[in-house]
Amino acid sequence: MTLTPLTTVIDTVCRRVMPSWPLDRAIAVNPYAGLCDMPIEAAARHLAHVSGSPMLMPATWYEAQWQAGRIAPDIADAQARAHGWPDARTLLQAAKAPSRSAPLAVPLVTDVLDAVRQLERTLSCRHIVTHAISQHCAAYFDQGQARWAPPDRTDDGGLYAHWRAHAAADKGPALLSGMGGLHHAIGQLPDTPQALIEAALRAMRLPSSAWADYLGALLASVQGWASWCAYLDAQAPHAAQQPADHPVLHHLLAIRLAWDWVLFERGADQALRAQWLAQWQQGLSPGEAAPPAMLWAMQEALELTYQRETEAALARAASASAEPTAPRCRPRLQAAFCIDVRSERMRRALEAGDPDIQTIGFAGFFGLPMAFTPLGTTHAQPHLPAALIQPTLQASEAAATPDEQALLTRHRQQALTQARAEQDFKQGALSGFSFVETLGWAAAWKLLRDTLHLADAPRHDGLTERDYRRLRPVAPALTDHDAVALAHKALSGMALTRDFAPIVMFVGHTARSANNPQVASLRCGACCGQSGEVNARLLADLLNRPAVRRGLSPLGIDIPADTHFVAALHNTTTDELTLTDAPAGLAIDQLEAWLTRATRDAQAQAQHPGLPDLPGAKPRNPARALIRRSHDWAQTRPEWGLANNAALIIAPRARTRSLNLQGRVFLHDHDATQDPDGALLTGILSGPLMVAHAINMHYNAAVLDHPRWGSGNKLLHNVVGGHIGVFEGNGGDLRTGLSLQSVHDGSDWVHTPQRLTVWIDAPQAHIEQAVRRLPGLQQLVQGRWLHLRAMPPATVPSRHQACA
Amino acid sequence: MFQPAHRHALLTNLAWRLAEVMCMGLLVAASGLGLLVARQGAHNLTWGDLTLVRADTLSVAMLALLGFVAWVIVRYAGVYLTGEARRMRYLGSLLATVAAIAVLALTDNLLVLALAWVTTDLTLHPLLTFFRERRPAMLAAHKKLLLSGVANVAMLGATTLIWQTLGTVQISVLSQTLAHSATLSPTLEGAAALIGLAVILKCAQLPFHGWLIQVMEAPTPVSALLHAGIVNIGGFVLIRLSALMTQAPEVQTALAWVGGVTALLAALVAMTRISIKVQLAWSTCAQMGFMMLECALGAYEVALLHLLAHSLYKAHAFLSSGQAVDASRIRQMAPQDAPRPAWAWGARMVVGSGLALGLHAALPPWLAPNGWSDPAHALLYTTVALALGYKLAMAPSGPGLQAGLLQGILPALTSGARVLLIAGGYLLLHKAFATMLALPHWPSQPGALVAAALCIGLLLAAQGAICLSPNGRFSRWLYPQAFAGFHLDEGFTRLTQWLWPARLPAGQQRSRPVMWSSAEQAS
Repeated sequence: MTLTPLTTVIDTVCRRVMPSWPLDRAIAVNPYAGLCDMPIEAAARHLAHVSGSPMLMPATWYEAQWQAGRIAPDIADAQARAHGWPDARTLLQAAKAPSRSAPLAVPLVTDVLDAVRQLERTLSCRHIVTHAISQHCAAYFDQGQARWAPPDRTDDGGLYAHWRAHAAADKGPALLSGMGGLHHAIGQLPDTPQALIEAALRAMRLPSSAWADYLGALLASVQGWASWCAYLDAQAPHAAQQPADHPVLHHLLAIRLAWDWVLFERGADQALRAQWLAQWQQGLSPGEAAPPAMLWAMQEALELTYQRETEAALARAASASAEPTAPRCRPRLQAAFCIDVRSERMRRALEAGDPDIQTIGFAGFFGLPMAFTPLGTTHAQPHLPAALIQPTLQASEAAATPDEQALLTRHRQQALTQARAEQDFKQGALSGFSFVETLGWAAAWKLLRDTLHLADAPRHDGLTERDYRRLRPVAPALTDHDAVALAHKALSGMALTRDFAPIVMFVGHTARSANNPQVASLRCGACCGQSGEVNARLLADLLNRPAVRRGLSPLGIDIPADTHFVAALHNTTTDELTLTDAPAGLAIDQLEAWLTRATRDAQAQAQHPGLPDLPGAKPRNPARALIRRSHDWAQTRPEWGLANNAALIIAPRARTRSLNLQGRVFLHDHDATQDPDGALLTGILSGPLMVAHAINMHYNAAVLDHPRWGSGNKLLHNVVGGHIGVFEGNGGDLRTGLSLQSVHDGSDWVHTPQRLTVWIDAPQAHIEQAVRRLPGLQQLVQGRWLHLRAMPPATVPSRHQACA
Repeated sequence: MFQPAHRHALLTNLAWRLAEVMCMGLLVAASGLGLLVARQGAHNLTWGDLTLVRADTLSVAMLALLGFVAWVIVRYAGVYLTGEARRMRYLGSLLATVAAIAVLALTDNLLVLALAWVTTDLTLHPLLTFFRERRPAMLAAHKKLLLSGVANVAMLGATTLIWQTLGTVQISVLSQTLAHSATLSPTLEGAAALIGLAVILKCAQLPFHGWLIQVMEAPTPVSALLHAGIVNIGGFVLIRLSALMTQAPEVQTALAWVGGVTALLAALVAMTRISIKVQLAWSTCAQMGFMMLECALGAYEVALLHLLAHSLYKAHAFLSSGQAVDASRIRQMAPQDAPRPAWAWGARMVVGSGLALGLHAALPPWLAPNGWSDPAHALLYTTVALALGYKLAMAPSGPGLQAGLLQGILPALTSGARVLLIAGGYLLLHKAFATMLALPHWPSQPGALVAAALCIGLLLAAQGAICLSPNGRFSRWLYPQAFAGFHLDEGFTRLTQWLWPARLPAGQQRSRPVMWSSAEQAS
């Protein structure tokens, strides 16, 4: 099959749309990833042109940063001069000029119509169309919210055909817009999305040079659902059978285009049509973006200021730890944490307990590419960075004896079916009335309980805490040989191949927050928005097996017989660090004491430095306030998550141990002396680096253009389709990304949008080689999507060198 | 002594605590009043010639409900709205609304009641337009204001008619007078009709329901207050004025039709809704219809029971709507039962309903609320019995007899016992409310009965058909209509925009919204 130019255009346009994950697997996605083949400034111009979305903060914001000293004056002036301005002040003044405020995006037919409608009296066409498409998509994709799904959604033809059939019978938009006959016109549209796109573009006589921008702008006007379709398309290759309407994003594009076409034919008069076409035929050139491009100088200056300060601190740390207080060769405890920026605070607290406690930063799924199916269910949940890799390890849960396992299976299944039957009774058309009169009264107790935060016993998919503790994660199909390979990869990845402490602890992390549809975005991103507990427990379990240890020995990893692996859990909302199991045959008094102390210390400084206080945290008893907050059903800011993240440091912990990095830095351990060929470094740059970059851009985007990349005010959140996403309010487009409350404290942004700085402690040759090997990374570096810098050289010997 | 910002925070905190105490005060007042009613029966508390407070079961129940729900909402909103610049204004409007409802619940004066009802519209408006820059919010609040305006005129008109005819606006006097008269004068019938109209408009009955669905554009606790404390006032008014309404058979029949059709259609629409809050709103619309139907049948004690339980349930459902993701996770994880053949489904339905009906028949007469002799009661209880039958039909089947005698039979036994327990609880509550409310027994209007039987029967048939054959012809035919909300609101929206357009904030779509004003930049 030969590709016609149009299909190429469609593919390109659709490739620019990034997926949005469901709420219960909400992992961070760089919404700009589809534009990363361009330099960032060009991408910003393109985005402003197509959707009016800014990729810089307003000039006044930079001015405030500059006045507050967060942009160093000398750096600001130097950057301004490099961009051809005498100094920063002049640049900022020019950028603030009022003529530069309105971003000008290419017009859709709906926009041209809205320009002549009385918008203070009627709803805009754009709103009516977006709302209609959004409602239809929600019904088509619904997963568990509606009790009555569209009966024909499994018919042939996919999303587009389904939409055409329903929209042709829906008088709603015609009634609301006052343009009669819209639905009749829809009934006469072509059968397939491909045919529609071709017919519409031809009928509207749009020049082919404008196709890409026009189709891009159409998708941008239904950004939320486009992201959802992109997610489904990204998952389709891994599904058991490919959905018939793959790629579904083409269907959505066709639907949005169909609306524009129908309005072009039915809604616009001759003059409007000519005016709209003229705009396109003149060849709209990407105009000046707003905020203006010269502000890139200030953005750069902001990042350079941060880099200069942090590098100074890193240099101080290097000279400080050069003191001959090198720790003993065998630490008393080694604890591996997720690279998540929130781990840094907890690691500092744990290390403060004893100089011989060593902490390690590693991706929080601990290298286990796992899909986890809770006992008694068939619901497999990915526990790995699912945007990068696919699960190959099937894990589940098991109890100590078969009898106990059968009992717990029954407990869970009964609880789940009971809960589902309750929902059916409550939401049935007729039974709903009787539900209210009989069981509705129970709500009085529930209101009291939730208001006073009483009896809030956690449930684990229907199991009580006590029952849940009787289960442990298992991977029944995992052979010893494969287990050895996984363990070897994990241990060498975290540079933990010798000098094992008597206790090695894997710390997964999770977040607890009541009544919060977006809680997964606070949990472990490396575990696909789940708790890292299962991964940590399973890896500890594998490494305690004699067979695995025997298998590791020939690979050069000798684990002493007295070394025990244990798993722990870091609750980032309450800053509690607790063991997940009581390890058998191990004196853990000292360990418990360390964990208690670390919890207390972390909670005492719980207010993340550099971020404003969270509401409700009383300094007098921080622990209680934090726990209470995590139970509070009205709390919209349970924690600050990864807000204000700024950097990734790939280096041994010794390089940063004496520093307070303010919870802004992802920390990944890497010991260049153990990586002679740079292969481990390449692995880190292809995995954890990409995750950190995605998280960084996810947060940046939610601040730079919140209405587009953020999900809006939590006060209005309205969960859609069970777990697809949220509406802000009554309807409108699907909203994706972080909520306003995640990045804003009511008076100011709490996340400073800045590109990730990556410091690497490795030979320059290794870094260059890794970048050459990874074309994706090369693009990011050359396109200035992140900063890659070598760590300033240190005089301090690494731990292994000291002990050699 | 303190920094201004600090002082501001302290004052804000104090205001919210004070509001909490005031709501608790309502609860205390309700308990006090309850004791009084228990000891002395229904009566008026007077001061000189002035009647201050009506003390009876109805006012106590409404006051207790209001105090409790308001307390929950104040505590919730105090945390929830942190960081919002307009939160103090929110608190003011909230408390004003609560005060207006309290007056409405306690008064014995029809004029005061009508004026308090007007006040709730005025104090609610700032809450509904909390986000003034949102066009859909402004439009929905505008529609609500227009409808309420008509309803208020009708209510004041009814008050005038009653005053002209009887020379009093005391509700207790009105009730006593009407108890001894055989028929209503035409003016009083007109008054009843106007009251019926006001209730239909204010209870968001079809086709005047759009605003209730669309005010999801206001913060969650506003929805909770609206659905638990305001939209149900219509039901309260019908119960309060039952002496008048039951004497107007045409009005009762009309109310039954409007309520029944709303219950039928809105319940079907709710099943198709794909977002949690909108689903809850349609459900409220249907529930209000059902409550009105119960009032129209003269089953006022069941209507009150419905009103109270629904308010509690809906308040909790809105405030905890963030748990929708957990609920859908449960649906995904729960083991799928093998599809059950229609006969097994039907058998379970018959057993479940039979158990519930049998329990009623087995009750001693002094415990049974009304008897089978009252067709309205029989119909309403049959509805409950059918719903319980449906519950049993939908309940998971056990592991089967091969899992052992006990394992196989136990789930069936517990399901049966649960049906009996729920039915028994319902009957007890019903009896208790009937005794406490102590309203005279009115025979239902035949027209109202027909409406009720038809709507309930259609609902049963529709739910059964959809459940048994979700992709069948009936479902395919009805679904598009239900999903479109039967196209009832779009026309009304156009009409309001034509008659009396809302002034919408212009051009919100393409620019960055102003999210917080600088008023509360406490730094």
